[in-house]
Amino acid sequence: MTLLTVDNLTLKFDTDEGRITAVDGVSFEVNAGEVLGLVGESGSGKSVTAKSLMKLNPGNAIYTPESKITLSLEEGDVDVLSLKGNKALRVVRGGAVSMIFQEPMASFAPAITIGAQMVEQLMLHKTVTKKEAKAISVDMLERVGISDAAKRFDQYAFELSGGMRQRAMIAMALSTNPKLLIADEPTTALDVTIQAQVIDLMKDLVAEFHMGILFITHDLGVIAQTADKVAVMYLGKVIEYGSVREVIRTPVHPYTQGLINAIPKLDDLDAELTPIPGDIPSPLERPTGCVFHTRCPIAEPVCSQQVPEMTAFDTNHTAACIVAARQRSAA
Amino acid sequence: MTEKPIISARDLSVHFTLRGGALFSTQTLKAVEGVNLDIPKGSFFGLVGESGSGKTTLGRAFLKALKITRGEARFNDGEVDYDLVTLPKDKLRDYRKRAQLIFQDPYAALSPRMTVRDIIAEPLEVMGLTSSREETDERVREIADKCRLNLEHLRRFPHAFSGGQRQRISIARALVSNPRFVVADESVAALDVSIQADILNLLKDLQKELGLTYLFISHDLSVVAHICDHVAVMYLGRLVETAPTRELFAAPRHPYTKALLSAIPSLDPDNHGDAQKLEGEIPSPTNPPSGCKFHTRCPYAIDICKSVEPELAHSGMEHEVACHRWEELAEA
Repeated sequence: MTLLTVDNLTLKFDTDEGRITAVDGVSFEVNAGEVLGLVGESGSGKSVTAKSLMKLNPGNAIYTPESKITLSLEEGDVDVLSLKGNKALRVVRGGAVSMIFQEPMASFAPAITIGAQMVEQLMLHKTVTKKEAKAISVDMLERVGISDAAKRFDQYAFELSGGMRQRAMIAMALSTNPKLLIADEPTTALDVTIQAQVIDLMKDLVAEFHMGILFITHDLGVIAQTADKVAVMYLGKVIEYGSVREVIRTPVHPYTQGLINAIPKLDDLDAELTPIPGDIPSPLERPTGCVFHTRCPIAEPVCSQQVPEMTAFDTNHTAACIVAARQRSAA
Repeated sequence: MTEKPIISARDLSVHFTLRGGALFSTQTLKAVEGVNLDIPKGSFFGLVGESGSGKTTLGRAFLKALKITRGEARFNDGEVDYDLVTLPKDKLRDYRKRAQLIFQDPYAALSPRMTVRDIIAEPLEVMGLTSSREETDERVREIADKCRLNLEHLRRFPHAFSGGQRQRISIARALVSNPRFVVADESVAALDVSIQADILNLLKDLQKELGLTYLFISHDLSVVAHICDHVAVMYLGRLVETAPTRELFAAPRHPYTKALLSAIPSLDPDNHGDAQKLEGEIPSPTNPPSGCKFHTRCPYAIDICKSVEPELAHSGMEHEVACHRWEELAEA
C-alpha cells in the first residue's frame, strides 16, 4: 500500500543572492512497512525534501504549482502542501508523520525532563489524560531498549548518553503511532557500535509497527543495511532510483558509481580510492543540462544542453543519464 | 627496527581534575592511562576508538598541547631528541615547528577575516621562520602549490571555498613550517565521501614528497584501513591492540577490535556482519570499571577480567594485544 507519494516536487528559496533551486522535480513513493533511503552529499537537497513533507521549510521557500505531496491515510488522502495553519499541519507534524533528527542533544529542550516533553506532545496529538500519556511514554522508552525507563522519564537530556538520547528521541517520535517516520541522519553523530544498535532497533520497529520510513543519510553502507529502496540525490535532483540491491550492486549513473568507488572498502584494501573530480557546484551556479556534467567522467557535449529524463534500466531501477541510457539501448 | 621511533611513549598518562558535584570535591578523569607506544619514522600511524576513548587527548599530549601527568614521551626526528615531559620553553618553539596539527572542521579552523595567504603565512610569522615578506610569500606559494591550491586563491577569503578546498588550506597551514610529525585529528570526518578520497590521496602524496610521519586519528576504520600502515586501537584511555594494518584487519585479536570491525555497515545488502554486536555504551571515564576496562561489554569476559587489568602483550610480529584470553580466543 502506498503511504506517501511525492510527485514532481520543486522547491526554490528566495535569498539575497537570488532565487536558489534546492529541489528540482523530485518524485518517489514510500509504502507501508518499507524503508526508502534518500542518499546524497551536502547540498543535495535531501534534508530540504524531508522537511517539505512536514512543511517545515522557512518562509522564503516557494513550492511550484506542479509539486504534489500526498499522504494516504485510512481516513483519506492528505494534500500536504495545501495544509495551512498550525492546527491543520498537526497531522504531518507528529500526528501521522514523525521525525527524528541527527543531533538528539539539540532536539530535546535542555531544561525540561524527557518525560515532560513526551507527555506534552502526546497530549497534543491524542486524546489521553496525563496519567495515560505517562504510561504510554514509559512503555515506549522500554520498547526502544532503555533500561530503568521510569527513572529516565524524569531525567534531562544531558543526563543521558548519546546512544540513549537517540533511543529516547525514537521513543518520542513513535509514541503517537505515526504511519510515516522521517529519520534525518539518525546515526551520523553516533559511534559505530551504537550505530549498529540503532539500525537494528529501527529494523525491528518497522516490522513491529508496519510503518513507512524515509531514511536520510550520506552513508551508503547504512543504506545498504537498512533500506529496501534507495533514491540517490545530487544538486536537488533524484538521479538514480530503485531497489537497494540493484542500485548498489549495478549502479548505472556515473555519480552513483563515483560515490561507491570513493568509499573505502574493508574487503579490498588494495583498491585505490577514486575521488569524484571537482567540487559540488554552488547552488547559485547550477549547471545547465544534466546537473552532474561538470564532474562527470563520461560527459558529452549533449549533457550540458539537455536535461536527462529518468529512464528504466530494469523493472525496479531508473536513472537519469543520457549516455548510460544510449549505451544500454545500443547493447 | 634499527631506526629510533619518531615518537615513543612509556606509561604515558594524562589525567584531568574535574570539580565534582559537591562543594570542594574533585574527581579525576583518566583520559589516557599507561600508554606504551612507538610511532616509527615515516609511518602513517592510525589511532582509532570511539568518542571518549582518549585518542584526541593522546594526540595532543604528543604535541605538548596539554600537560602530561605521568610517564615518558620522547620525540626524535634524527636531528633533535626531545624529552616532551620536561621540554624547556626555548625548545618548545622549535618543537612547534617540527610537530603540527591538522584539525577536523575546516569551517571552524580558518579565520573568516584573513585571506588565504595570511592564514598560511601566519605560522611562519609567529615562529619567525622567514626574514622578509618576499621569503614568506615564496614559501606560501610553494606549499600552496604542493597542496594543489590555485595561486589565485591566495588573495581570497575562506568563505569563498568549499569544504575540500578549505581542508587543503588547513593542510597547507600545518605544513608551511616544514614539520616532521603531523597529527591529523579526524581530518576527513567533516567531508563528503567524494571529497574525502581526494584529501586522503593528498595526505599520502605529501607524505612521500615531504617525508612526513602522521598520527592519523579517526573513528572511521575503513578510512584507516586504506591509508594507515600501523593501527592502534584505544578504549577508555588504554591501548587495547596495536598491529600493522593488514594484520589487524585480517586477524583482530582483541574482542573490542573485532566488535568495532563487525559494526561497520557493509555495502553489501545481504551481508549483515557476524553477530558480534556490542551491548551498552562506553562507560564514563570518571568512573571506569575495574580490571579490564572492556569487561562490562565483552562477550568473553571471565572472573579475572573483572579484577586484573591486562597488559599489552606481544602476540606475534609487532602485533600487541591487551586481553587475558586472546590466545584461547584465537584458537577457537
